[in-house]
Amino acid sequence: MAKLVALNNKQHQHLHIDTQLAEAEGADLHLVPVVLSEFMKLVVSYPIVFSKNGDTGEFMCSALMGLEEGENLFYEKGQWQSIYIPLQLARQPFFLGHDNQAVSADNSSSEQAQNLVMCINESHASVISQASTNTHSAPNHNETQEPLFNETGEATSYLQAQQNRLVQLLQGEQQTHDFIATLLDMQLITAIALEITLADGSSHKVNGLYSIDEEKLAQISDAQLILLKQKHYLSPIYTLIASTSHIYSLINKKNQRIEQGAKWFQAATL
Amino acid sequence: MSNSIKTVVVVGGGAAGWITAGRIAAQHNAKQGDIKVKLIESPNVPIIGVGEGTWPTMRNTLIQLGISETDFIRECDASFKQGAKFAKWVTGAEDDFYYHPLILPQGFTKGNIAPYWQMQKHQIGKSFSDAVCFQEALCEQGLAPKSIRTPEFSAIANYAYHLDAGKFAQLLQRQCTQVLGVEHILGDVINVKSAVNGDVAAVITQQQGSIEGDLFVDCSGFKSLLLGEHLGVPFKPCNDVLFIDNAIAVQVPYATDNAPIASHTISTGQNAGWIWDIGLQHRRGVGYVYSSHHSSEAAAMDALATYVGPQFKDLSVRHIPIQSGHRQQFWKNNVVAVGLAAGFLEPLEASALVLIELSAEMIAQQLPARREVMDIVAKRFNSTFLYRWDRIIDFLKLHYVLTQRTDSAFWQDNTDPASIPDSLNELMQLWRYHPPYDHDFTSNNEVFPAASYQYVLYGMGFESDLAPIQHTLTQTEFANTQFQLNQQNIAQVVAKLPSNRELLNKIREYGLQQL
Repeated sequence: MAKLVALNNKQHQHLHIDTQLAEAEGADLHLVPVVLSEFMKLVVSYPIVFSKNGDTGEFMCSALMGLEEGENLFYEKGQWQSIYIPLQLARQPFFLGHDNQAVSADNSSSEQAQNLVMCINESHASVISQASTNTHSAPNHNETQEPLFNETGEATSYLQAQQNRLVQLLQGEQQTHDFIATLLDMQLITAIALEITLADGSSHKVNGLYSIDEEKLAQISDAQLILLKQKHYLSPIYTLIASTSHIYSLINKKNQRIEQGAKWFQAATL
Repeated sequence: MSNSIKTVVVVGGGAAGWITAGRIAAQHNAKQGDIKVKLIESPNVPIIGVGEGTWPTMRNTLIQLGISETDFIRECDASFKQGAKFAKWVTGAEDDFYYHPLILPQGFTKGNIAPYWQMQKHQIGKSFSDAVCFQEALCEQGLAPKSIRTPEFSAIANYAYHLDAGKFAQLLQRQCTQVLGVEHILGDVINVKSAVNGDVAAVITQQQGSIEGDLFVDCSGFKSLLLGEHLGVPFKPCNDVLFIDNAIAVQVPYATDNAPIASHTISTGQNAGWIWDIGLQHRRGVGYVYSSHHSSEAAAMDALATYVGPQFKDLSVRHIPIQSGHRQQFWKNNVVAVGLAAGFLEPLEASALVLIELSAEMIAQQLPARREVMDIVAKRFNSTFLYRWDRIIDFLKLHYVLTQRTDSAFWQDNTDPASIPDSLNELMQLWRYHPPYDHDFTSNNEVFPAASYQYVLYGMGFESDLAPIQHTLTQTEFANTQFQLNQQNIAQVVAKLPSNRELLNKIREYGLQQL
C-alpha cells in the first residue's frame, strides 16, 4: 500500500533511494504513460502509441514495452536494457501532491499548481533508511543508492533531477492532453490492428493500440496544418509515426526470449 | 402540393415523429434545402412516453441521426439493456425464469446446437440460454456490456438501451432542429384540407394556419389523426390473441445513488398479465400491463404495490388504456402512420420503438421522388409492415402458449387453441419434430430471428420429439465444443466487465471515445 507523505529535509534527511529498485516499478508494464516533451528521447528505443486509460477510457500517449499485458521486453535480468527510461518510471518513488491546506481549500487549478509539493512514497521498495544502509548494504549495492539530502539538509543533485522530472511530467501531462484532443478533433487517431506471428509459429493479436492515421494526415486542410504548426505538434506527430517501426524490434526481442526458452526446454528433454 | 415530393410534414412530436423526421432529413439533406421536413407538435398534448426499452437497432438509429452515444446516455437517463428476463412465466414459481439475450447462440451461424442441448440438458445442468450464450451470466451479475475503453456504439456483448422517453424526445428534437434542418412548428391541428384525389393537401393549425405538404407522416399517437380519423383506415384489434388492455405505471426512485442497475428488462408474470421493470440511471420504470377481463383495477394496483414494496404508496400512478392491434394499412394516399398512430402491442419485447425505427428507415430510404410512384412505395410499405406486425404478434403470443401456469384464468385462456394465430400454430406443429432454425424464417422482413424463437421456446420448456430425425444429429462434437466455448466466454467477460452502474457513472464523468 502506497504511503504518500510530503518530503522534508528533517524527516527524510537520511533516506536513500535504490534507483535500480525504483525503476523496477516498470518491470511488468507493457504500456508506460509518456509525455510529449520526451518523445525525442523515446524514439531511440520504443514505439510510441496511443492507448486508453483503464479507469477513464481517455486516450493517453504510451511507450509500448511488450506485446501482451504484463510483458516488458526492455526489462531483463533485474534491470533496464535501454538507454532512456520514461519519466513516469524514472521519477519513482516521488510524486507531486497537494499539501493539506491546498486540498481542503476550494481552489482554482492555478492555485492548485502553486500548492503542489513533492511527496515520497515511503513504503516503496526502493526507499532505504540510513540505518539499514549502514548495517546491511553490500558495497556493490551502494552504486545504485542515492541520498536525498546532504549533511546540511540541501537537496542532492539526484533529488534536484527528480524534482525536474516531476515538473516536466506535470507540464507535459497538460500538453499531451491538448495534443491528443487536437488529433482527436481532426480525426487523426486510428486503431492499429497488430497481428503478429512469432518464431514458434504462434500468432498474437495485440488490441487496444492506436496510432496516427497517415492517410488522413496527408489530407488535412491548410488551416489544420497551420494549427498543428503553431502548436508545435508537427515534430511529435512525425516522431510518433517514426517510432512505430520499433514494433519490429519488440517482435525481435520477443522471438529471442522464445528461442532462449526453447533452448531451455531442449536441454530439459535430453 | 406539387408532383415532386419536396415537403414532408410530420404531425406529432414524440419519439416517432422526431425519429422519422430526423431520418428523412438526414437521408435527404434537409439542411441543404434539397427537401423540406416540417414537424408540427401540439403545445398542449403531452407525449405518451412509456416506451422505455429499445432494440440494438437504436445504436444504428442514433448513428444515422448523428447523435453521440455519450450525449444520449447523459441526457436521456439511459442505461444498457442486454435482453429480457422472463420471471414466473413457465410455472409461476419463485425460481422460475429464463432469458432472451441479444447474442446468438454460440456457433449459431455454423450449426444448430439446440437439439444437442435438448438431448444433454440434464448432464449440462444449465438452462438453454445459459448453456449457449454468455450474456445471461452478465445480466445475472449486473455487469455492463462494454467497458469505458470500448468506443461509442461498439460492444463487447451486444446491447440495446433503456431510456427516459420524454428526455429522449427532447434530445431528438434538438438534434433534428439544430443539426438536421427540421423545421419545428408548434400548433394544434384542427382541420385537414383534402386534394381532389383524396390526398391530404394541407393540415390547418390553430396557431400557424395552413401547412401544406407532399407527404404527411402521421405520428399523432393513439388518435391516428390523419390515417385513422381523416382517411378512415380501420383499426384491426388483436385482443383475441393478446389479452392485455390496460397499463398502470410508476417511476420508482433508487434506494441509494449507487444502487445496482439491472442491465436487462425484467418481465414478471402476474395473475392477469405481467410487470415490466426497467432500470434507468436515476430511477426504475415499473408498470403492470394486465387484462381487464381477468383482473379488476384494484387487484392490479395491489399486485403492483406488492411488487414495488412499501414506497408504492408515495408514487403517482399513471393509467394508460391499451388497445392491442394496428391499422389495416399504414400508408394510404400521401399519409403514412408511424408509432402509436399505426398501432400498439403490449411492450413485451420492446417492439414499439423498433417498429418506429424500421418504419422511419424504410420511409427515408424509399421516399418516393414523385407522387406517381408513391402508391407503389405505399403498397410495398404496407405489405412489409403488415407482415412485421403479424410476426410480432405471433412472437409475443409464443411467450404465453407454452405456459404451465394454471393458477389463473389469464394463463389458461392464453393457451386456448382458438387464441393462437394459424401462422404460429403451424410453426409449433413443425417444431414438434424439427428444432427451430434459420430456415423456418425466410422473409427479408423478419423482425425476430430464429434464435429468438429458440430462446423463448426452450426457456419455456419446449421439447421437440427428436427420434424421427435422430439420424441427422451427427454434430455432437461440434455442439460440445460450442458449449465449452461458451463457458470460456463467460469466464472471460465476467472477469473484465464493470458493473452496469459503474460504467454509466464513468460515462457521465469521462464520456466514451469515438474510436
